[in-house]
Amino acid sequence: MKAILVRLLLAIPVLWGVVTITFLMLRVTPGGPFDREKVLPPEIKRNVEAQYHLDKPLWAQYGLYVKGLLEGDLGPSYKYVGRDVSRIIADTFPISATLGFLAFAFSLSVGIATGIVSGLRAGKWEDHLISGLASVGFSVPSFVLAAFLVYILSHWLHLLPPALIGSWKHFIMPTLVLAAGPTAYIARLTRANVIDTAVKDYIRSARARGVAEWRVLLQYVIRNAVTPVVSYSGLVLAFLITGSFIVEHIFAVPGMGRFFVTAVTNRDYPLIMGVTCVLAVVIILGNLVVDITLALLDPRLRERT
Amino acid sequence: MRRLPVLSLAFLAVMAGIAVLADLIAPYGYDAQDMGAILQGPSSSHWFGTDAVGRDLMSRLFYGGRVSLLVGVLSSVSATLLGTFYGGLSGLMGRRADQFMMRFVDIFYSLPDMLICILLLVFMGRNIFGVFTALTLVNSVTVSRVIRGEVLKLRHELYVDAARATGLSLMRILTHHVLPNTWPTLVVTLTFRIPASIITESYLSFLGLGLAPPHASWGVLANEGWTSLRFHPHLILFPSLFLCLTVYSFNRLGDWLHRA
Repeated sequence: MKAILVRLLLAIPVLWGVVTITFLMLRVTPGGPFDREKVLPPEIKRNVEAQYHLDKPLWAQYGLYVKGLLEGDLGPSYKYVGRDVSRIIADTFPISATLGFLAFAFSLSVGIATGIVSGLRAGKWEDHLISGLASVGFSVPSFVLAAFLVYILSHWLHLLPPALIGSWKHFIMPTLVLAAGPTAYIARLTRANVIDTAVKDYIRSARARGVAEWRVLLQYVIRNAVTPVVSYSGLVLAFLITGSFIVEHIFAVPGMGRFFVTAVTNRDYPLIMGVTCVLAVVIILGNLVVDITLALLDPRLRERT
Repeated sequence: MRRLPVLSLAFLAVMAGIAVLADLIAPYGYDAQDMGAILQGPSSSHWFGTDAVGRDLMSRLFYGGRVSLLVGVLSSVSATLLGTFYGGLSGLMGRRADQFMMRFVDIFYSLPDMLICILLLVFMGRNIFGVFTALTLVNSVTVSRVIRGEVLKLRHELYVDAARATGLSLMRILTHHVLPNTWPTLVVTLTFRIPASIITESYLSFLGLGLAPPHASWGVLANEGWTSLRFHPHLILFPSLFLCLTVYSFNRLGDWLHRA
């Protein structure tokens, strides 16, 4: 419990660092958000800049931003006039989170299951099949997989809708594409762990004691092989966030990743900042949850943390 | 020890040849338009077909390969250099300095590479130099963690203590005494960074945040192909094929080096 509190406190300077670095980088960047459209008359431009506090010195802008942040206000969007960044994120985050959760569940269950099969049958045809698929899944960029699936399932067989979000059918392809990389990654890790664990002394002594074979596998091999995989969930989370940028762009999913990419194209700085902050929080909390889960699964780690 | 991945090496050699010789072997220029031949499928005059403004896809793939490979290889090499020195020094210096330097790296490590790349590109602009710098920084984070781990294993070896005792500078200890013993790890790390960089570059370009047309990388081509997937799938098929085979070959090579 105390360890969790300490971790949360340690997260504050990290978050502050992310906010400050991103803020400075975006403000120092030449080219304001209102430069690109038609040239505005000077007085209107001045008014617009005053509206968004862009006329104030840098430190004052920074102060205002941090103050807003503490109050949960991420400022107005430059592009979507009248919509707050907080509003946009509140609208889009649940969609991305749903997609991310589905992909996470898929990659964890399928990845671990196939990894176990492949590890227990190492060198046999099942292993060759799964390892082969995993290394393909690892090398194929998500837009290639997406193009393949959309062409066959949507354009050719007309089974699934090619884009947007509506019924559950809309979620199938985005989830598969998003989960492909992490699934391959987890399957590889699990396979290696199972092979390592299977030759440990305690497995041999369990067999020697006459423990039933299914019990040896379930309670000794699999349990010890799968626990370390959980510790990679933090990396999987990072995979999923990267993937969400691509997948939401491809399938026109109105989630946070897609808005982030559009915000970058539009130079909508408050929206870029807002999404970056939210993602940083998600990652920090995600890693904390991973550590707690690990401590619950593995008694050896409980004392150390 | 497993067999040398001959096919992967051969494929990479062909790709390297194409990238170097693109000017000589590409049948058309990378931005040469032929309005009379728009969105054609593969034919004898355009082996891989043409795109929406009549540019020859094979030529664009060759020139695009040059960009993708160059960015991937160069940024990986410079990231390996940068990361090796940062991670190496961090591991050799005392506890305090190490903690401080690694705290900094951990912040970047916990954020997704793509997020950092995109933010850096906003900062530096969409050009080949921006993409190169962003990829270098992001990759060097990974490299420095790996190398630091290696150095921490070696730092209490007798020969390192001996080098310290003779009063050599940290830099010299690193380059002459520690790094020679880590170079297998270095080579493997470098080999795996290259496909990772190529993929990240293709993602950035696919999102329209990397290189801008008419310049081509495989990611830019895939992006152009994606929009006409339904009726002209060849436009995304060929860039994807080149990209996947290259990345797969690099990964095979890395796996082999890792085991050897």
